[in-house]
Amino acid sequence: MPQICRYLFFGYLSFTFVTGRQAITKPYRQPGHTMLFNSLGFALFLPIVFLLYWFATKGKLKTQNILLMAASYYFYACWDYRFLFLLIFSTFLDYFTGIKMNDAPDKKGRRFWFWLSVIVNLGFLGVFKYFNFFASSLADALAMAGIKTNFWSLQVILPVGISFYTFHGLSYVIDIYNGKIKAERNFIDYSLFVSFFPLLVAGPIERATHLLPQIKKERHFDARMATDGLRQILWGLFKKIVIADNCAEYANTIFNHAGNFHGSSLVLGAVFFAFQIYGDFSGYSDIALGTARLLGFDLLRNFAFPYFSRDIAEFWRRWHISLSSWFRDYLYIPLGGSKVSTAVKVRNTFIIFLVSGFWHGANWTFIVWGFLNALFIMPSIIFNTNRSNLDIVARGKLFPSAKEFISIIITFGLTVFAWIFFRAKSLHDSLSYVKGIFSSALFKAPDIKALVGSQNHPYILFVFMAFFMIVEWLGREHQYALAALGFKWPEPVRWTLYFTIALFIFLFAGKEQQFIYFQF
Amino acid sequence: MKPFLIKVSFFLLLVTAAMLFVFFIADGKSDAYYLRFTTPQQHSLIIGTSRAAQGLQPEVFDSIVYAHNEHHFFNYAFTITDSPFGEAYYESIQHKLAEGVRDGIFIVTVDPWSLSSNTTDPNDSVNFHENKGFMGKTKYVNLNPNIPYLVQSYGEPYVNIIRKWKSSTDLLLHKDGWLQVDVPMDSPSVAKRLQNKINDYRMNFLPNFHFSTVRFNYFQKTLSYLQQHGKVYLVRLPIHPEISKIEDELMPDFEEKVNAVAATLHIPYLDFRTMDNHYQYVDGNHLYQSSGKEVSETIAGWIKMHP
Repeated sequence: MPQICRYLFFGYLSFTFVTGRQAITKPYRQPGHTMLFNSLGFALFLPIVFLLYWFATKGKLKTQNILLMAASYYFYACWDYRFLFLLIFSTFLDYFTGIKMNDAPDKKGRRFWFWLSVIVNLGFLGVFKYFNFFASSLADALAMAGIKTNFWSLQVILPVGISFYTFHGLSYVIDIYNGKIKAERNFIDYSLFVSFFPLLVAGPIERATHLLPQIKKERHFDARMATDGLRQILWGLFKKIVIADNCAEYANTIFNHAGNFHGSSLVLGAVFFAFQIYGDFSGYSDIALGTARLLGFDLLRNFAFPYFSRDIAEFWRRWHISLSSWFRDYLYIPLGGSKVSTAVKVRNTFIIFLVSGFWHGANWTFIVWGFLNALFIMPSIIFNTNRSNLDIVARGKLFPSAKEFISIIITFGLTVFAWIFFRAKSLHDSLSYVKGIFSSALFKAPDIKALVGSQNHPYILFVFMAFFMIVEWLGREHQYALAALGFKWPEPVRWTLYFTIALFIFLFAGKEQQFIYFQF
Repeated sequence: MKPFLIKVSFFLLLVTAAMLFVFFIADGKSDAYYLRFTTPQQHSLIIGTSRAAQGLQPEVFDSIVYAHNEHHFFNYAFTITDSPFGEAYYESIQHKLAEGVRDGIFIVTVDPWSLSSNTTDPNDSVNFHENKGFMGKTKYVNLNPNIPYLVQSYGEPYVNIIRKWKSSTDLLLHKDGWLQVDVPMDSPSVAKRLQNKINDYRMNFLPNFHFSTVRFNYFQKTLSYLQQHGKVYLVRLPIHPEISKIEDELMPDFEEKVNAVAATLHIPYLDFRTMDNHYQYVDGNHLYQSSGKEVSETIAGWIKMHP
């Protein structure tokens, strides 16, 4: 079998041409080993940027922005310097087409530049993220029809953060095209909008209307804001390192050896994954938002205690908010939004969720995950109750009502069920997993003994999960759980709480896992 | 800004102090490797995998070989995953060996696993497992406390350092590098562990491991390097006959290859396999303490006979 490995596109793309759809070589380099938010590298990088930013720039806006842009490019280059070219190209493309659209004398010209930007942006995303998926799906479809294929497939590295910065750029050009904003003419400012390091690799997906004005406004150090930022970083680290990384070990054990576990253990595995992905992604978002606040920026909120949702519609208003609102504004509303017939609303809802699933990754499991969520939300779409839970659950009360509690449990259960498809490696695996859950042993106690290893004991993790949920519940009326917790306590007591959380992070850290959303 | 920085610095100072406290109490109970990276550079080394780590007791060698000498042996053997022959282990040995040593004694243990790799291509040295583990990451092997090791490679939650600190544990790494393992030695327990080990080696190891020319070259390179610093003795440690059979399947020409190297480099070679049945094993693969002592005495006596 001939195998030809070569580098194309100026060497930053590793292609493996393989016959018979069998990849032989591994990606040139796996991203994600150098500048994780929970890494020593970032622990050094952030204080240096912070001190330079507030001291060396002497409050000059232009210098601050140049410094942040340089720091952001350095941050990205630490992942894979070859893909920096792609980021700069994407930035330049949207900057240039934005100005051209703005200056176009007629609608035809605007439309040309608009579609050029959209097609190139989505083209890059398509090649880097979805080429293999389409190629293998086509081959599978042909094989099912009895046609054996032997064409060449490409193994393309997924540049970290491409889904996020592409959506940044797209929202910018769509807003210009719709006349919502004027094109940004300062390249540094625009470049910083796209590449601002706290949000570069996994969001939140910012809007030009929200972030660009902050980039252009003079920023002065605000101790309260910075302290709040540090508090949010602390809570984000706890979520990531203590909750997500520890849950990941057990979720991995159970998902990777699903055949060895019976029903209730598989349910436990799915619950572990639900906590893992929430701790991982919302923890990442907290660190990103906290880091931005240290530098005087307010980023869009990405999570609002989604596991306390009373229905799936509420869940999706609280989970990955910046992506959900992106799809709402740039896909759902242009498709007609809610001001259409029920049948069209149903169609639009399915489109949104399927696209959202596909955005997460080039795998049928994500599409089924999206489809399931669309199914779960259907009753509230059909009966028009999708906006019946807009307020915060049990506001001002310590406990929810029995009805609220049951609704929360049911919604959480549905979410956990859908996560099985998100986590499994293939549709076959996910279906086997679900089948395993509904075995005769569903009502037996989970096999905790089989999980005990050198990591934290599952019972210790249960205690942390309970602590985590209690703090989240107590803080659900605020931007993040720790935002106001203990503000009525004496200051030394509150600082003792922070110190204790920092100790928990150090002492009970799970095995380091890459942030899940970096792969998207 | 100033009050903010003072508050943050004070907070970080407290957290750092707590971290340092935990790092300072890390000891031979913390894990099976840490203490080996906290001692000064050494004069005489025991090299190999977990068989040597658990089986060969430096104290015994000191009492026989260095009875009238100030030198000491140090057990610098780890595991099949972390210290097979290769670049990472070779470099680590170089860092551990004291500079200028010319009269050291080096006991190098070898078996088919330490010359094999479970990478798809057994010569794909870039992807050798040990490169990603503590052997590849730990560049400073003589620090106390060894914070780089604890930060990068300690494989458990740090709370375990505190938990194990004042309690008794199954594993105790001595300051001379010997790994003492205390497990129940009643017949049913031993039989169960033996069966598990045989299954593991037959089902998981044998199908995936293949002889690696790269590892074999590093084996020779390691021997040659150590020869520049003293006298080298090559040993194949005893194992349970059932595991021995699996090894023969992995590398039928092992003896031929190792004998050839020993002859070329003029290194004495002691093969214990004819005495497999003489010793007691905790799991078929590792010598029990009393048998380890016996084997150590035998090797020490043999070294005395081949000065």
